[in-house]
Amino acid sequence: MRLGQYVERNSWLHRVDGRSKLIFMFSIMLASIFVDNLFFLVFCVLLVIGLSFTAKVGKEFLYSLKGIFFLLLFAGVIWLLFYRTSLFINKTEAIVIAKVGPFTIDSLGLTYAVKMPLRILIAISVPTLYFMTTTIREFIISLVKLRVPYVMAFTFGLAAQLVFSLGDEFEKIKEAQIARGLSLNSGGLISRIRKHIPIIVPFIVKSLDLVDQINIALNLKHFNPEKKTVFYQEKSFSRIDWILTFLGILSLIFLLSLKCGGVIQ
Amino acid sequence: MTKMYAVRVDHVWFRYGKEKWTLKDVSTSIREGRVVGLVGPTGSGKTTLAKLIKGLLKPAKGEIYIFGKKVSELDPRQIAREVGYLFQNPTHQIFSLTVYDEIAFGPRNIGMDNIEERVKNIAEKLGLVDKLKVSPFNLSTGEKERVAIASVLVMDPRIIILDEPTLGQDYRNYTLIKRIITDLRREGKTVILISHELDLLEPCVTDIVALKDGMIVFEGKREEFFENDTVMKSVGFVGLNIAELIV
Repeated sequence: MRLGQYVERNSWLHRVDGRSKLIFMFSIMLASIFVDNLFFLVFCVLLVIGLSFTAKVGKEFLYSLKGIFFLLLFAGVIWLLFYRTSLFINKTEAIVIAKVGPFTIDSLGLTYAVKMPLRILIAISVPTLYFMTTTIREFIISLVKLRVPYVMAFTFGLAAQLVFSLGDEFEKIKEAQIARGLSLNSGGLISRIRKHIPIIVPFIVKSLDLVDQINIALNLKHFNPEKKTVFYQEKSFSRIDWILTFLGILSLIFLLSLKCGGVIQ
Repeated sequence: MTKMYAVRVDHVWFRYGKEKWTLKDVSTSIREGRVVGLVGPTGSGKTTLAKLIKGLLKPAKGEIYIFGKKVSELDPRQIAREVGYLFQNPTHQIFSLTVYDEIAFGPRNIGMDNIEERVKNIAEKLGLVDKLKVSPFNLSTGEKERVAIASVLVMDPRIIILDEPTLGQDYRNYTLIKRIITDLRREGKTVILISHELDLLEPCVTDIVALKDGMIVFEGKREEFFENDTVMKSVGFVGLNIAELIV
Protein backbone atom coordinates (compact mmCIF):
# COMPACT_ATOMS: atom_id res chain seq x y z
CA MET A 1 0.00 0.00 0.00
CA ARG A 2 1.55 3.27 -1.15
CA LEU A 3 1.09 6.58 0.60
CA GLY A 4 -2.11 8.18 -0.69
CA GLN A 5 -3.11 5.42 -3.11
CA TYR A 6 -6.86 5.44 -3.86
CA VAL A 7 -8.74 2.66 -2.06
CA GLU A 8 -12.11 1.79 -3.50
CA ARG A 9 -14.77 1.51 -0.78
CA ASN A 10 -18.41 2.39 -0.39
CA SER A 11 -18.23 4.94 2.42
CA TRP A 12 -19.70 8.39 3.14
CA LEU A 13 -16.26 10.01 2.71
CA HIS A 14 -15.88 8.38 -0.72
CA ARG A 15 -19.33 9.58 -1.73
CA VAL A 16 -19.09 13.23 -0.67
CA ASP A 17 -18.16 15.82 -3.27
CA GLY A 18 -14.43 16.32 -3.82
CA ARG A 19 -14.84 20.08 -3.24
CA SER A 20 -16.38 19.86 0.23
CA LYS A 21 -13.83 17.24 1.23
CA LEU A 22 -11.02 19.45 -0.09
CA ILE A 23 -12.26 22.54 1.82
CA PHE A 24 -12.77 20.58 5.05
CA MET A 25 -9.39 18.88 4.92
CA PHE A 26 -7.60 22.05 3.85
CA SER A 27 -9.17 23.78 6.89
CA ILE A 28 -7.73 21.10 9.21
CA MET A 29 -4.28 21.60 7.68
CA LEU A 30 -4.42 25.40 7.94
CA ALA A 31 -5.69 25.24 11.52
CA SER A 32 -2.85 22.91 12.51
CA ILE A 33 -0.35 25.43 11.12
CA PHE A 34 -1.80 28.50 12.88
CA VAL A 35 -2.97 27.04 16.19
CA ASP A 36 -0.02 26.29 18.45
CA ASN A 37 -1.78 24.09 20.99
CA LEU A 38 -0.70 20.55 21.78
CA PHE A 39 -4.19 19.32 22.66
CA PHE A 40 -5.61 20.77 19.45
CA LEU A 41 -2.93 19.04 17.36
CA VAL A 42 -3.61 15.72 19.09
CA PHE A 43 -7.34 16.28 18.43
CA CYS A 44 -6.62 16.86 14.70
CA VAL A 45 -4.59 13.65 14.46
CA LEU A 46 -7.32 11.67 16.21
CA LEU A 47 -9.94 13.30 13.99
CA VAL A 48 -8.11 12.27 10.81
CA ILE A 49 -7.61 8.71 12.10
CA GLY A 50 -11.27 8.57 13.10
CA LEU A 51 -12.33 9.82 9.66
CA SER A 52 -10.20 7.15 8.00
CA PHE A 53 -12.02 4.43 9.94
CA THR A 54 -15.44 5.88 9.11
CA ALA A 55 -14.28 5.84 5.47
CA LYS A 56 -13.49 2.10 5.86
CA VAL A 57 -9.83 2.68 4.96
CA GLY A 58 -8.48 2.87 8.54
CA LYS A 59 -6.17 -0.14 8.34
CA GLU A 60 -4.75 0.86 4.94
CA PHE A 61 -4.38 4.47 6.12
CA LEU A 62 -2.37 3.56 9.22
CA TYR A 63 -0.33 1.01 7.28
CA SER A 64 0.61 3.52 4.57
CA LEU A 65 1.75 6.04 7.22
CA LYS A 66 4.15 3.50 8.73
CA GLY A 67 6.87 4.68 6.36
CA ILE A 68 6.97 8.22 7.78
CA PHE A 69 7.60 7.07 11.35
CA PHE A 70 11.36 7.71 11.09
CA LEU A 71 10.76 11.13 9.54
CA LEU A 72 8.63 12.08 12.56
CA LEU A 73 11.20 10.68 14.96
CA PHE A 74 13.95 12.60 13.19
CA ALA A 75 11.92 15.84 13.29
CA GLY A 76 11.27 15.33 17.01
CA VAL A 77 14.96 14.83 17.82
CA ILE A 78 16.03 17.82 15.69
CA TRP A 79 13.50 20.12 17.37
CA LEU A 80 14.43 18.84 20.81
CA LEU A 81 18.11 19.56 20.30
CA PHE A 82 18.14 22.60 18.03
CA TYR A 83 14.97 24.61 18.76
CA ARG A 84 17.07 27.07 20.77
CA THR A 85 18.72 28.30 17.56
CA SER A 86 15.32 29.62 16.39
CA LEU A 87 15.02 33.42 16.42
CA PHE A 88 11.23 33.36 16.74
CA ILE A 89 10.83 31.47 19.99
CA ASN A 90 10.96 33.06 23.45
CA LYS A 91 13.22 30.75 25.43
CA THR A 92 13.11 32.56 28.75
CA GLU A 93 10.16 30.51 30.08
CA ALA A 94 11.86 27.19 29.48
CA ILE A 95 12.84 24.99 32.44
CA VAL A 96 16.09 23.14 31.86
CA ILE A 97 15.64 19.38 32.23
CA ALA A 98 19.04 18.01 31.23
CA LYS A 99 22.29 18.87 29.49
CA VAL A 100 23.69 16.41 26.95
CA GLY A 101 27.10 17.57 25.71
CA PRO A 102 26.61 20.88 23.89
CA PHE A 103 22.81 20.46 23.89
CA THR A 104 20.36 21.72 26.49
CA ILE A 105 17.09 19.85 26.78
CA ASP A 106 14.34 21.95 28.34
CA SER A 107 10.58 21.91 28.79
CA LEU A 108 9.90 24.13 25.77
CA GLY A 109 12.14 21.99 23.53
CA LEU A 110 10.26 18.93 24.68
CA THR A 111 6.92 20.56 23.74
CA TYR A 112 8.24 21.39 20.28
CA ALA A 113 9.63 17.89 19.89
CA VAL A 114 6.04 16.67 20.21
CA LYS A 115 4.22 19.48 18.40
CA MET A 116 6.34 19.62 15.24
CA PRO A 117 6.11 15.90 14.39
CA LEU A 118 2.36 16.16 15.02
CA ARG A 119 2.13 19.06 12.53
CA ILE A 120 4.16 17.09 9.97
CA LEU A 121 1.93 14.08 10.59
CA ILE A 122 -1.17 16.20 9.93
CA ALA A 123 0.40 17.79 6.83
CA ILE A 124 1.07 14.32 5.39
CA SER A 125 -1.91 12.36 6.69
CA VAL A 126 -4.64 14.79 5.59
CA PRO A 127 -3.71 14.74 1.85
CA THR A 128 -3.11 10.98 2.21
CA LEU A 129 -6.66 10.44 3.45
CA TYR A 130 -7.98 12.78 0.74
CA PHE A 131 -6.34 10.82 -2.07
CA MET A 132 -7.25 7.48 -0.48
CA THR A 133 -10.91 8.46 -0.76
CA THR A 134 -10.85 10.61 -3.91
CA THR A 135 -9.79 9.64 -7.42
CA ILE A 136 -7.33 11.88 -9.26
CA ARG A 137 -10.06 12.60 -11.80
CA GLU A 138 -12.44 13.79 -9.10
CA PHE A 139 -9.64 15.90 -7.61
CA ILE A 140 -9.11 17.68 -10.95
CA ILE A 141 -12.86 18.25 -11.37
CA SER A 142 -13.06 19.63 -7.80
CA LEU A 143 -10.26 22.11 -8.48
CA VAL A 144 -11.90 23.26 -11.72
CA LYS A 145 -15.26 23.69 -9.97
CA LEU A 146 -13.50 25.73 -7.30
CA ARG A 147 -12.45 28.10 -10.12
CA VAL A 148 -8.83 26.97 -10.28
CA PRO A 149 -7.70 27.46 -13.92
CA TYR A 150 -8.00 24.18 -15.82
CA VAL A 151 -4.36 24.08 -16.83
CA MET A 152 -3.32 24.36 -13.17
CA ALA A 153 -5.85 21.77 -12.01
CA PHE A 154 -4.74 19.40 -14.76
CA THR A 155 -1.08 19.94 -13.82
CA PHE A 156 -1.76 19.24 -10.11
CA GLY A 157 -3.68 16.11 -11.05
CA LEU A 158 -0.99 14.93 -13.42
CA ALA A 159 1.69 15.58 -10.80
CA ALA A 160 -0.27 13.60 -8.19
CA GLN A 161 -0.61 10.72 -10.64
CA LEU A 162 3.07 10.88 -11.63
CA VAL A 163 4.12 10.56 -7.99
CA PHE A 164 2.51 7.10 -7.92
CA SER A 165 3.87 6.05 -11.33
CA LEU A 166 7.38 7.20 -10.48
CA GLY A 167 7.17 5.52 -7.08
CA ASP A 168 6.50 2.24 -8.89
CA GLU A 169 9.39 2.81 -11.29
CA PHE A 170 11.75 3.59 -8.40
CA GLU A 171 10.84 0.30 -6.72
CA LYS A 172 11.33 -1.67 -9.94
CA ILE A 173 14.79 -0.17 -10.54
CA LYS A 174 15.78 -0.74 -6.91
CA GLU A 175 14.75 -4.40 -7.13
CA ALA A 176 16.65 -4.84 -10.41
CA GLN A 177 19.86 -3.50 -8.87
CA ILE A 178 19.48 -5.52 -5.66
CA ALA A 179 19.01 -8.56 -7.92
CA ARG A 180 22.50 -7.80 -9.28
CA GLY A 181 23.98 -7.94 -5.78
CA LEU A 182 23.70 -4.28 -4.78
CA SER A 183 23.57 -4.19 -0.99
CA LEU A 184 22.02 -0.93 0.18
CA ASN A 185 22.15 -1.69 3.89
CA SER A 186 25.90 -2.06 4.34
CA GLY A 187 28.73 0.45 4.66
CA GLY A 188 28.97 3.97 6.07
CA LEU A 189 26.76 6.96 5.23
CA ILE A 190 28.83 8.13 2.21
CA SER A 191 29.06 4.60 0.87
CA ARG A 192 25.30 4.14 1.24
CA ILE A 193 24.63 7.40 -0.60
CA ARG A 194 27.03 6.33 -3.38
CA LYS A 195 25.26 3.00 -3.65
CA HIS A 196 22.08 4.84 -4.65
CA ILE A 197 23.68 6.13 -7.90
CA PRO A 198 22.74 2.91 -9.80
CA ILE A 199 19.15 3.59 -8.77
CA ILE A 200 19.03 7.38 -9.21
CA VAL A 201 20.54 7.47 -12.75
CA PRO A 202 18.06 5.03 -14.37
CA PHE A 203 15.28 6.68 -12.36
CA ILE A 204 16.07 10.11 -13.85
CA VAL A 205 16.28 8.58 -17.34
CA LYS A 206 12.96 6.81 -16.81
CA SER A 207 11.31 9.98 -15.42
CA LEU A 208 12.37 12.02 -18.45
CA ASP A 209 11.17 9.22 -20.68
CA LEU A 210 7.80 9.19 -18.91
CA VAL A 211 7.43 12.97 -19.26
CA ASP A 212 8.26 12.67 -22.95
CA GLN A 213 5.64 9.95 -23.37
CA ILE A 214 3.01 12.11 -21.66
CA ASN A 215 3.98 15.02 -23.89
CA ILE A 216 3.53 12.88 -27.01
CA ALA A 217 0.22 11.47 -25.72
CA LEU A 218 -1.14 14.98 -25.04
CA ASN A 219 -0.06 16.21 -28.47
CA LEU A 220 -1.56 13.19 -30.20
CA LYS A 221 -4.88 13.92 -28.51
CA HIS A 222 -4.64 17.63 -29.46
CA PHE A 223 -4.75 18.66 -25.80
CA ASN A 224 -5.68 22.33 -25.52
CA PRO A 225 -5.95 23.67 -21.96
CA GLU A 226 -7.53 26.92 -23.21
CA LYS A 227 -10.55 25.11 -24.60
CA LYS A 228 -13.63 25.02 -22.37
CA THR A 229 -13.84 21.65 -20.66
CA VAL A 230 -17.00 19.75 -19.86
CA PHE A 231 -17.22 16.73 -17.59
CA TYR A 232 -19.05 13.48 -18.16
CA GLN A 233 -19.94 13.20 -14.47
CA GLU A 234 -21.62 16.16 -12.80
CA LYS A 235 -21.93 15.85 -9.03
CA SER A 236 -24.20 18.22 -7.16
CA PHE A 237 -23.70 19.41 -3.57
CA SER A 238 -25.76 17.36 -1.12
CA ARG A 239 -26.64 18.31 2.46
CA ILE A 240 -23.58 16.53 3.87
CA ASP A 241 -21.38 18.52 1.45
CA TRP A 242 -22.77 21.82 2.71
CA ILE A 243 -22.34 20.69 6.34
CA LEU A 244 -18.72 19.64 5.71
CA THR A 245 -17.90 22.88 3.87
CA PHE A 246 -19.40 25.15 6.54
CA LEU A 247 -17.93 23.07 9.36
CA GLY A 248 -14.48 23.45 7.83
CA ILE A 249 -14.71 27.18 7.12
CA LEU A 250 -16.50 28.14 10.36
CA SER A 251 -14.13 26.09 12.56
CA LEU A 252 -11.17 27.73 10.89
CA ILE A 253 -12.61 31.25 11.33
CA PHE A 254 -13.51 30.47 14.96
CA LEU A 255 -10.01 29.15 15.77
CA LEU A 256 -8.29 32.06 14.03
CA SER A 257 -10.50 34.53 15.95
CA LEU A 258 -9.55 32.85 19.24
CA LYS A 259 -5.91 33.03 18.25
CA CYS A 260 -6.12 36.71 17.24
CA GLY A 261 -7.98 37.49 20.48
CA GLY A 262 -5.21 35.83 22.46
CA VAL A 263 -7.52 33.18 23.97
CA ILE A 264 -5.37 30.39 22.53
CA GLN A 265 -1.78 30.39 21.32
CA MET B 1 22.36 -40.19 -8.03
CA THR B 2 19.37 -38.07 -7.10
CA LYS B 3 19.77 -34.38 -7.75
CA MET B 4 19.06 -31.99 -4.87
CA TYR B 5 16.33 -29.41 -4.90
CA ALA B 6 17.47 -26.09 -6.33
CA VAL B 7 14.35 -24.36 -5.03
CA ARG B 8 11.90 -25.46 -2.38
CA VAL B 9 8.85 -23.35 -1.60
CA ASP B 10 7.29 -24.46 1.67
CA HIS B 11 3.71 -23.36 2.48
CA VAL B 12 4.26 -19.76 1.42
CA TRP B 13 1.65 -17.06 1.94
CA PHE B 14 2.17 -13.54 0.66
CA ARG B 15 0.23 -10.32 0.26
CA TYR B 16 1.14 -6.73 -0.57
CA GLY B 17 0.43 -4.60 2.49
CA LYS B 18 -3.07 -5.22 3.78
CA GLU B 19 -4.46 -6.25 0.39
CA LYS B 20 -5.90 -9.71 -0.33
CA TRP B 21 -3.53 -12.69 -0.44
CA THR B 22 -1.49 -12.84 -3.65
CA LEU B 23 -0.13 -16.31 -2.82
CA LYS B 24 -2.06 -18.77 -0.69
CA ASP B 25 -0.22 -21.69 0.87
CA VAL B 26 2.02 -22.31 -2.13
CA SER B 27 4.36 -25.29 -1.96
CA THR B 28 6.54 -26.59 -4.78
CA SER B 29 9.99 -27.99 -5.42
CA ILE B 30 12.29 -27.56 -8.39
CA ARG B 31 15.10 -30.04 -8.96
CA GLU B 32 18.53 -28.84 -10.03
CA GLY B 33 19.02 -28.68 -13.79
CA ARG B 34 15.33 -28.47 -14.67
CA VAL B 35 13.78 -25.76 -16.84
CA VAL B 36 10.46 -24.91 -15.26
CA GLY B 37 7.76 -22.90 -16.97
CA LEU B 38 5.89 -20.78 -14.43
CA VAL B 39 2.56 -20.07 -16.07
CA GLY B 40 -0.81 -18.61 -15.21
CA PRO B 41 -3.14 -15.75 -16.04
CA THR B 42 -2.15 -12.14 -15.35
CA GLY B 43 -2.31 -11.43 -11.62
CA SER B 44 -2.04 -15.09 -10.63
CA GLY B 45 1.13 -14.46 -8.59
CA LYS B 46 3.90 -15.66 -10.96
CA THR B 47 6.16 -12.61 -10.63
CA THR B 48 5.46 -12.43 -6.89
CA LEU B 49 6.58 -16.05 -6.46
CA ALA B 50 9.70 -15.37 -8.54
CA LYS B 51 10.54 -12.29 -6.45
CA LEU B 52 10.09 -14.32 -3.26
CA ILE B 53 12.52 -16.95 -4.58
CA LYS B 54 14.99 -14.15 -5.36
CA GLY B 55 14.54 -12.73 -1.84
CA LEU B 56 13.21 -9.39 -3.08
CA LEU B 57 10.00 -9.96 -1.12
CA LYS B 58 9.54 -11.69 2.20
CA PRO B 59 6.75 -14.23 2.72
CA ALA B 60 4.14 -13.50 5.38
CA LYS B 61 4.12 -17.18 6.27
CA GLY B 62 6.19 -20.15 5.13
CA GLU B 63 9.78 -20.47 3.97
CA ILE B 64 11.76 -20.64 0.72
CA TYR B 65 14.98 -22.60 0.35
CA ILE B 66 17.60 -22.39 -2.41
CA PHE B 67 19.96 -25.34 -2.43
CA GLY B 68 18.83 -26.14 1.10
CA LYS B 69 19.54 -22.67 2.50
CA LYS B 70 16.78 -20.40 3.81
CA VAL B 71 16.46 -17.35 1.54
CA SER B 72 15.46 -15.22 4.56
CA GLU B 73 18.89 -15.86 6.11
CA LEU B 74 20.93 -14.87 3.03
CA ASP B 75 22.03 -11.32 2.13
CA PRO B 76 21.50 -9.85 -1.39
CA ARG B 77 25.08 -10.70 -2.44
CA GLN B 78 24.76 -14.36 -1.45
CA ILE B 79 21.42 -14.60 -3.23
CA ALA B 80 22.84 -12.86 -6.34
CA ARG B 81 25.56 -15.53 -6.51
CA GLU B 82 22.95 -18.29 -6.58
CA VAL B 83 19.96 -16.70 -8.32
CA GLY B 84 19.96 -14.47 -11.41
CA TYR B 85 16.81 -12.54 -12.22
CA LEU B 86 16.00 -11.00 -15.58
CA PHE B 87 13.16 -8.53 -15.06
CA GLN B 88 10.39 -7.50 -17.43
CA ASN B 89 11.75 -4.40 -19.23
CA PRO B 90 15.32 -5.03 -18.01
CA THR B 91 16.66 -2.04 -19.94
CA HIS B 92 15.41 0.17 -17.07
CA GLN B 93 18.31 -0.96 -14.87
CA ILE B 94 21.02 0.50 -17.13
CA PHE B 95 23.08 3.29 -15.54
CA SER B 96 26.80 2.85 -16.34
CA LEU B 97 28.91 4.94 -18.70
CA THR B 98 30.01 1.95 -20.78
CA VAL B 99 28.57 -1.45 -21.66
CA TYR B 100 31.62 -3.05 -20.02
CA ASP B 101 30.88 -1.35 -16.67
CA GLU B 102 27.21 -2.21 -16.93
CA ILE B 103 27.96 -5.92 -17.38
CA ALA B 104 30.68 -5.84 -14.71
CA PHE B 105 28.36 -4.19 -12.13
CA GLY B 106 26.98 -7.46 -10.72
CA PRO B 107 30.32 -9.35 -10.54
CA ARG B 108 31.90 -6.37 -8.75
CA ASN B 109 29.05 -6.27 -6.23
CA ILE B 110 29.37 -9.92 -5.34
CA GLY B 111 33.18 -9.86 -5.33
CA MET B 112 33.88 -12.22 -8.25
CA ASP B 113 37.38 -12.69 -9.67
CA ASN B 114 38.51 -12.55 -13.34
CA ILE B 115 35.84 -9.98 -14.06
CA GLU B 116 37.41 -8.80 -17.34
CA GLU B 117 37.55 -12.33 -18.72
CA ARG B 118 34.00 -13.08 -17.62
CA VAL B 119 32.65 -9.89 -19.20
CA LYS B 120 34.47 -10.58 -22.49
CA ASN B 121 33.20 -14.15 -22.61
CA ILE B 122 29.58 -13.22 -22.07
CA ALA B 123 29.87 -10.27 -24.48
CA GLU B 124 31.16 -12.64 -27.13
CA LYS B 125 28.32 -15.05 -26.51
CA LEU B 126 25.74 -12.27 -26.91
CA GLY B 127 27.40 -10.42 -29.79
CA LEU B 128 28.39 -7.37 -27.76
CA VAL B 129 32.19 -7.46 -28.08
CA ASP B 130 32.39 -4.39 -30.31
CA LYS B 131 30.03 -2.46 -28.00
CA LEU B 132 31.94 -2.84 -24.73
CA LYS B 133 33.34 0.72 -24.79
CA VAL B 134 30.11 2.30 -26.03
CA SER B 135 27.61 4.06 -23.73
CA PRO B 136 24.67 1.69 -23.13
CA PHE B 137 22.30 4.65 -23.52
CA ASN B 138 23.33 4.94 -27.19
CA LEU B 139 22.35 1.34 -28.02
CA SER B 140 19.21 0.17 -29.76
CA THR B 141 16.46 -1.39 -27.62
CA GLY B 142 17.46 -4.89 -28.75
CA GLU B 143 21.10 -4.29 -27.86
CA LYS B 144 20.14 -2.85 -24.45
CA GLU B 145 18.11 -6.00 -23.87
CA ARG B 146 21.17 -8.12 -24.64
CA VAL B 147 23.28 -6.00 -22.25
CA ALA B 148 20.71 -6.62 -19.52
CA ILE B 149 20.76 -10.38 -20.20
CA ALA B 150 24.57 -10.34 -20.17
CA SER B 151 24.64 -8.47 -16.85
CA VAL B 152 22.63 -11.30 -15.26
CA LEU B 153 24.36 -14.28 -16.90
CA VAL B 154 27.86 -12.92 -16.20
CA MET B 155 27.36 -13.67 -12.49
CA ASP B 156 27.09 -17.34 -13.43
CA PRO B 157 24.17 -18.09 -11.07
CA ARG B 158 22.99 -21.69 -10.64
CA ILE B 159 19.34 -20.63 -10.80
CA ILE B 160 18.11 -18.18 -13.44
CA ILE B 161 14.68 -16.58 -13.39
CA LEU B 162 13.50 -15.11 -16.68
CA ASP B 163 10.38 -12.97 -16.27
CA GLU B 164 8.65 -12.74 -19.65
CA PRO B 165 11.99 -12.37 -21.48
CA THR B 166 10.49 -12.27 -24.98
CA LEU B 167 7.90 -9.58 -24.24
CA GLY B 168 8.03 -7.00 -27.04
CA GLN B 169 11.15 -8.52 -28.64
CA ASP B 170 11.90 -8.62 -32.34
CA TYR B 171 12.50 -11.94 -34.09
CA ARG B 172 16.31 -11.77 -33.71
CA ASN B 173 16.19 -11.27 -29.94
CA TYR B 174 13.39 -13.82 -29.62
CA THR B 175 15.49 -16.54 -31.23
CA LEU B 176 18.54 -15.43 -29.22
CA ILE B 177 16.63 -15.79 -25.94
CA LYS B 178 15.37 -19.20 -27.03
CA ARG B 179 18.97 -20.23 -27.78
CA ILE B 180 20.18 -18.92 -24.41
CA ILE B 181 17.56 -20.99 -22.56
CA THR B 182 18.59 -24.09 -24.52
CA ASP B 183 22.26 -23.41 -23.69
CA LEU B 184 21.50 -22.90 -20.00
CA ARG B 185 19.61 -26.20 -19.96
CA ARG B 186 22.59 -27.93 -21.58
CA GLU B 187 24.93 -26.39 -18.99
CA GLY B 188 22.80 -27.89 -16.23
CA LYS B 189 21.44 -24.61 -14.89
CA THR B 190 18.07 -24.43 -13.20
CA VAL B 191 15.82 -22.06 -15.12
CA ILE B 192 12.46 -20.64 -14.07
CA LEU B 193 10.77 -19.23 -17.14
CA ILE B 194 7.73 -17.00 -16.71
CA SER B 195 5.92 -16.69 -20.02
CA HIS B 196 2.55 -16.66 -21.72
CA GLU B 197 4.02 -17.82 -25.03
CA LEU B 198 3.43 -21.46 -25.91
CA ASP B 199 5.96 -21.22 -28.77
CA LEU B 200 8.65 -20.48 -26.22
CA LEU B 201 7.51 -22.77 -23.43
CA GLU B 202 6.81 -25.90 -25.48
CA PRO B 203 10.35 -26.52 -26.79
CA CYS B 204 12.28 -25.04 -23.84
CA VAL B 205 10.83 -26.30 -20.57
CA THR B 206 10.97 -29.68 -18.87
CA ASP B 207 8.32 -29.04 -16.23
CA ILE B 208 5.40 -26.72 -15.65
CA VAL B 209 4.09 -25.05 -12.50
CA ALA B 210 0.72 -23.40 -13.16
CA LEU B 211 -0.72 -20.77 -10.84
CA LYS B 212 -4.22 -19.43 -10.64
CA ASP B 213 -5.55 -16.95 -8.08
CA GLY B 214 -2.42 -17.40 -5.98
CA MET B 215 -2.63 -21.19 -5.82
CA ILE B 216 -0.87 -23.97 -7.69
CA VAL B 217 -3.32 -25.72 -10.00
CA PHE B 218 -0.81 -27.92 -11.81
CA GLU B 219 2.68 -29.16 -11.14
CA GLY B 220 4.34 -31.78 -13.30
CA LYS B 221 5.98 -32.74 -16.55
CA ARG B 222 5.60 -30.57 -19.64
CA GLU B 223 3.92 -33.36 -21.63
CA GLU B 224 1.29 -33.92 -18.92
CA PHE B 225 0.48 -30.20 -18.89
CA PHE B 226 0.07 -29.89 -22.64
CA GLU B 227 -2.18 -32.96 -22.71
CA ASN B 228 -4.43 -31.64 -19.94
CA ASP B 229 -7.00 -29.43 -21.65
CA THR B 230 -8.82 -28.54 -18.42
CA VAL B 231 -5.69 -27.13 -16.77
CA MET B 232 -4.55 -25.46 -20.00
CA LYS B 233 -7.93 -23.75 -20.22
CA SER B 234 -8.01 -22.72 -16.56
CA VAL B 235 -4.69 -20.89 -16.87
CA GLY B 236 -5.66 -19.22 -20.12
CA PHE B 237 -3.76 -21.25 -22.73
CA VAL B 238 -6.89 -22.38 -24.52
CA GLY B 239 -9.20 -19.70 -25.82
CA LEU B 240 -12.92 -19.67 -25.21
CA ASN B 241 -15.08 -21.21 -27.91
CA ILE B 242 -17.77 -19.19 -29.69
CA ALA B 243 -20.60 -20.53 -27.49
CA GLU B 244 -18.75 -19.48 -24.32
CA LEU B 245 -18.02 -16.06 -25.78
CA ILE B 246 -21.71 -15.48 -26.49
CA VAL B 247 -22.69 -16.53 -22.95
